[in-house]
Amino acid sequence: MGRDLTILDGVGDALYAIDARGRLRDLNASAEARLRRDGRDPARLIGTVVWEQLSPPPLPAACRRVMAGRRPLTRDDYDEAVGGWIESRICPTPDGGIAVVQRDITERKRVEEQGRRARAYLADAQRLSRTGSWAFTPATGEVVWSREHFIIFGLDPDGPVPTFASILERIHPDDRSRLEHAFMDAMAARGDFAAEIRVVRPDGAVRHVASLARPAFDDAGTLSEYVGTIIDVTERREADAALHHAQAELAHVARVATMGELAASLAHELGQPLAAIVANGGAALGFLGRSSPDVGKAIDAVRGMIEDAERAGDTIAATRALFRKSTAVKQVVDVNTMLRAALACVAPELRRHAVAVREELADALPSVRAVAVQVQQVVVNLVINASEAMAAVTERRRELVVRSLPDELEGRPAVRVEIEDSGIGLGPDDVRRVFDAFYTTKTEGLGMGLSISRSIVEAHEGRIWATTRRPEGATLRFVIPAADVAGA
Amino acid sequence: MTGTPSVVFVVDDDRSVREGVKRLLESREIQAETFATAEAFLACPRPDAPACLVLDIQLPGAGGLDLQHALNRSARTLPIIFITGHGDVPRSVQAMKAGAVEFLTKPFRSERLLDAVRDALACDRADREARAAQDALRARVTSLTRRERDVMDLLVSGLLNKQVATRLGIAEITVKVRRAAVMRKMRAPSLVDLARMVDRAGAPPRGRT
Repeated sequence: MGRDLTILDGVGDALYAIDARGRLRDLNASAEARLRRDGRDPARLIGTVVWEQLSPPPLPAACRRVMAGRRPLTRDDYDEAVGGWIESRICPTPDGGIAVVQRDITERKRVEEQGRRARAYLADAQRLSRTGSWAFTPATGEVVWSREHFIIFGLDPDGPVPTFASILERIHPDDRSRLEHAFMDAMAARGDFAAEIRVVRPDGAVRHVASLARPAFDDAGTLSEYVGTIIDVTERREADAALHHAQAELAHVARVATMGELAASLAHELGQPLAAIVANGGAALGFLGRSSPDVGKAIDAVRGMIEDAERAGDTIAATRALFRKSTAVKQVVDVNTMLRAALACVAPELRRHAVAVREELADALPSVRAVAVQVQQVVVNLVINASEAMAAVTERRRELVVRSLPDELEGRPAVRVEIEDSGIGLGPDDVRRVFDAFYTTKTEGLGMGLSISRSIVEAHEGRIWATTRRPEGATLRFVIPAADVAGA
Repeated sequence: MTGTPSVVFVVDDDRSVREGVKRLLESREIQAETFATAEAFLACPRPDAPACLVLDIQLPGAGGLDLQHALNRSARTLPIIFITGHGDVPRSVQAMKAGAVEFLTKPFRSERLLDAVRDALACDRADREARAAQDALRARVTSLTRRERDVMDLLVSGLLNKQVATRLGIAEITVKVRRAAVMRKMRAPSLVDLARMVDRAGAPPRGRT
């Protein structure tokens, strides 16, 4: 019985050759080391029935099974003697015996376990945070999605990975081209990608999803893939929308309440002199209607009427002054900055109405002298109006253009702001009257927004007007003079 | 207008309103007196004449409704026409419940105010006359002696002379004498008239002896 396995002493694995009668025929150095560690003498074991000497403990039974069944077997066992994992491969040999190969797989097991745990953590984290991850390889068009990504899209996690084209089909039609452009732009720039889109699930439910990705490059610097995440932000968006809706409602209620208070106070202030005028008028008629008219007393009554009418006039003048009175101080401000701040204010409202905004802000505009919050109020009013005018529009894009450009007003340099919408537009009558107080084409409107806007623009020595836009919608514009830089 | 000259009290803190209302009333020959506050009105002695009150519901100090309550508690009631700068429904309901005859929102029509004032004065005049008649009846009742009063009470309750005599333990002839005195003092033509008068006088306190 020759020793052949010594040539395999160098391999880390422990090798045993066992003959058909269960006797140890040969072993290599690693196997000898194992036996020695277990307190055996390898030299004396050669030629003896060896089953019970093999470790870990399940091994003798496994070897007998292979011997009898003649089918190879691999098993992983925890070896308590070394505190590690041993992989044992047992296979039948042509001589009717078996060969056993044992390998320490503790490290592999550890890595596997780590990987498994990491995957479990990741899956949990994705599920809890409603975050999916994805990868896209531009060269092959291959898409990889995490389990949660499927769930966010309302798809079966065990189903086939969708193609780029079929993914687009799941995107809300209004967001599709935007998403495509954003992705193409990112790829062209080899830069990061970010987009917020709506996903339409197969059951029709719409989810708001924020997607972020960054490019990965190979060693040659070629773009190899995009790796990204998607987060389901529907609840957040809905909460935002509800919050902004509540705020808008509150603002509306506050406006109406103020109007109501103002109306009540005006009614009271004017009711007094009017009551006196009516009473004096009745008295004048009474004195003159007597059989011998008392002209002197009638004149007193008429004097009283005039006094009271003047008093009513004073009340109106005081109310007007109250409106005009402004504690805010005009400052030299940049129109584009004001416009951007105003647009930021109304962004949630515009998102709620699915209105796309295009900014066409001219560079190198002259500054204006203005009360920034007031001019922003005008812009907000105009933008909200425009967005409401587009609420009924479903057959075309709801697009809002906000434009600033240099202009002239009565021979002086000025800045013009235009708010264009693709809404229901204005009739010829509306164009003339939209800026009148209490004029409204809306059922729930007070008709004060544009009237207040006009007061503000006029307080800035500007002009505001509306025109019909072709082919549809309306354009509202205002011009305010540029700040007098010569005096500065 | 008949009888004693009537007077309208106008209480409004707005000078031109109260002067205008006074002038309007005077142009129709209705005497008016003006006051800027409820306190000033209450401090002023009121003449014994048919009257009504034109009252602004919002007054500095004691408001119009407070004044209404004070007047309702006093012996002499006064019809009240409220005038207000606000169409204040809860307060108008409160005022009407407490007996206001009219509630006008400024600016009101002259004729509405004049009609309301005339109605209120007529009402107060009728009230005063009814009160005067009742006072006269009560004076007659109190002029009776205690024995005459006993006889009257039993007679108007429907007893015959004989029954009254039995009940009081006196002779029937005595009842007849006292009955004659009652009819004379009460100026009652018949027993039926007497019963009606006693009813109208209410139940005046019986003179204690």
